[in-house]
Amino acid sequence: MFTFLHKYASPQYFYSWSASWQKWASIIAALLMSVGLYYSLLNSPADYQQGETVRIMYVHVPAAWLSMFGYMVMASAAIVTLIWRIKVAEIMIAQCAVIGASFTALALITGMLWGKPMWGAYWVWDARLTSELVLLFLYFGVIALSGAFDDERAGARAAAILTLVGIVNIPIIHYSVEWWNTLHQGPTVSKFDSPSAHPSMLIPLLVMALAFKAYFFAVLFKRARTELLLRERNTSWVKALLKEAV
Amino acid sequence: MRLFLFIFKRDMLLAIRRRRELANPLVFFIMVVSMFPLGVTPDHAFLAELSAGVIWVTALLAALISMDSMFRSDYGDGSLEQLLLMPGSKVVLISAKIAAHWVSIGLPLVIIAPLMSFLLFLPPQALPSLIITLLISTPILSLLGAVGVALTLSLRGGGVLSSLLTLPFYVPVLIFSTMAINAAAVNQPVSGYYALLAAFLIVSILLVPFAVVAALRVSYN
Amino acid sequence: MSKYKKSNSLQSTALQCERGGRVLFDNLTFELHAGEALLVQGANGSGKTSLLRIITGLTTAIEGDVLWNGRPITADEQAYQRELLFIGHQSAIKQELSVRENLRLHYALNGCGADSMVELAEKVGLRQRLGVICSRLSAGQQRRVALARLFLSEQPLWVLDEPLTALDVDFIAAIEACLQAHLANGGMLILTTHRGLDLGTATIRNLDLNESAKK
Repeated sequence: MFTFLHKYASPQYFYSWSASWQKWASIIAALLMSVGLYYSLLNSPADYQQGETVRIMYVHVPAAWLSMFGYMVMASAAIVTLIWRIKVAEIMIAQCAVIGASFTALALITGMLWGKPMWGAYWVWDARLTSELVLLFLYFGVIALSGAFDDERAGARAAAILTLVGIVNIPIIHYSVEWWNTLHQGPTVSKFDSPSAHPSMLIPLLVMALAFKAYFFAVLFKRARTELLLRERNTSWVKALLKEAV
Repeated sequence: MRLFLFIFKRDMLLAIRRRRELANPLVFFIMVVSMFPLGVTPDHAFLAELSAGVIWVTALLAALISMDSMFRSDYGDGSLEQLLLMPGSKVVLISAKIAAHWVSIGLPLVIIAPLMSFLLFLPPQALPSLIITLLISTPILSLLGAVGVALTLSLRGGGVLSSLLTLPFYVPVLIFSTMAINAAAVNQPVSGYYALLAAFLIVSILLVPFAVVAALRVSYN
Repeated sequence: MSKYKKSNSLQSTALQCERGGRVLFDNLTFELHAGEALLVQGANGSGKTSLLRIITGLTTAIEGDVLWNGRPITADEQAYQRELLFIGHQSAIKQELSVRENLRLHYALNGCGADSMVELAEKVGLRQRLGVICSRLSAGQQRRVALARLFLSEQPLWVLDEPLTALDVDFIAAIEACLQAHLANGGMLILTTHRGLDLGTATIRNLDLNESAKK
């Protein structure tokens, strides 16, 4: 099984099979995104309290979900890196961190834009926003650490250890922030509660969430392939590939 | 156990020889705390409300700036290599180093914290919980800090980076501790917070040394 | 007379090491038996220190294993470390401690040692300076404190990175004698050095990292 794994994870193999994965992920992302955006922006009911601003949710919530999901993918890559030393997984860690941090930032920005009409202020120390902020810090740490080493492989291993320490810590951080929030602000009804309400809102939300995930993988494969070419530029298979392209 | 004691004694001896350096985080702690009344207000009631948070945030920073001493000089002069090559459990070795670091840095912070609480008018009924939270939590600070330091040992200017890596992990410690102190200030029960902090401490003691050993291997790559 | 087991051996299967995307060495193999010395040569940055770290087990190679008596050193790390003495190019001397305290750490690191501390200090020419804090010593004297471990060692495998740096002629002769005695006892020696070293009649194997990089 391990030889199988090593074969499919070898840089050259990965480069060839990931091409079609990247293509399909992009297509699925584009399709789902157009359907999801149509329903969420044009063909779903406005909230009886929040009015049209509720539509920010269709970007904010999927982005927030993806920020967590990205960390999980990064942690999986970290485990593979530490156990099997697979180059492709090493590359994935830093790429996951960059994309994950972008979506965390997106979740924060959309949360702030939503906060203005809701609370009358761009920033409120809401539990979820605060958790997202700490998550962004964790992503920054991984990005900074993996880039700080002269030797990329050592950087990836260091980032992998940090990621795994983070994955143990994230639930504790999340829980502590939630608790801190309820004690300081009283148990207000969070506007970020998943809409248990109506399928007309839930379905576009789920479509958007899937679209974001497909987009995540499309970008992840694209970035990983580019980085792989850069790192393997001196190997024979990349040179052969370049000759073909020219 | 013999290994633990050997490393612990060695590091304590070194700490005593470097006692001037040991005083630095303490002086830093006192100075930063005394900046707050200057920068905000000397108002009694306002500072009292602020005090738990200020003391705790400052303690975090003081612990962070002292973290480097745990491994960096041993890494620089080659003695960390020798320690890692000793036959014996690496986890025990790392635990002993972290324990020695806590005794030489964390414990003094706990001891002078009451003094800080007078400067900031912490309500007297909250003082025991300040000391107890510091006692349970400063070892957590040393443990989590050790991961950051170990990961950045081989880097130039790793000290600042290691602070950036470590600070987010300190969030639960900060939250639970200050909540406990604030609860004690209004005479509410606090044992739940202690239990949570103690649980966090136990998990850290069990898991962190393994992460540090792995991180040191990367640093020796 | 052989103090150590004649059957001891250290080997490697094709080792590979890279730094920053550059391959330092690939398919590197060596072999070493009781009573033999391995001289590792190579230009700066050719991977000498990396190789020694791989041999000591401080780090692992990307590909390949180091085998002690036929078993990978990672299989029983502690057993291997009991057989190993490593002195890096940094002295591992604590500047804040006195010569005596540093020597005491040596005893603890080695686990044993026949000589008393005064005898040991005599051998490295620091008897008068036992109470001196090491930061007051010259570079050569600090190196002597570090190399005192050689006179204590009961380990068959010595790995030395540039042991002769900063030493004066007299002490180099003492170290040479010590290394020769170690090899004659059936010990093994791996070292890097920029200057010639007289190892007497022992078999000397050469490992040139410049060549293996070219391959």
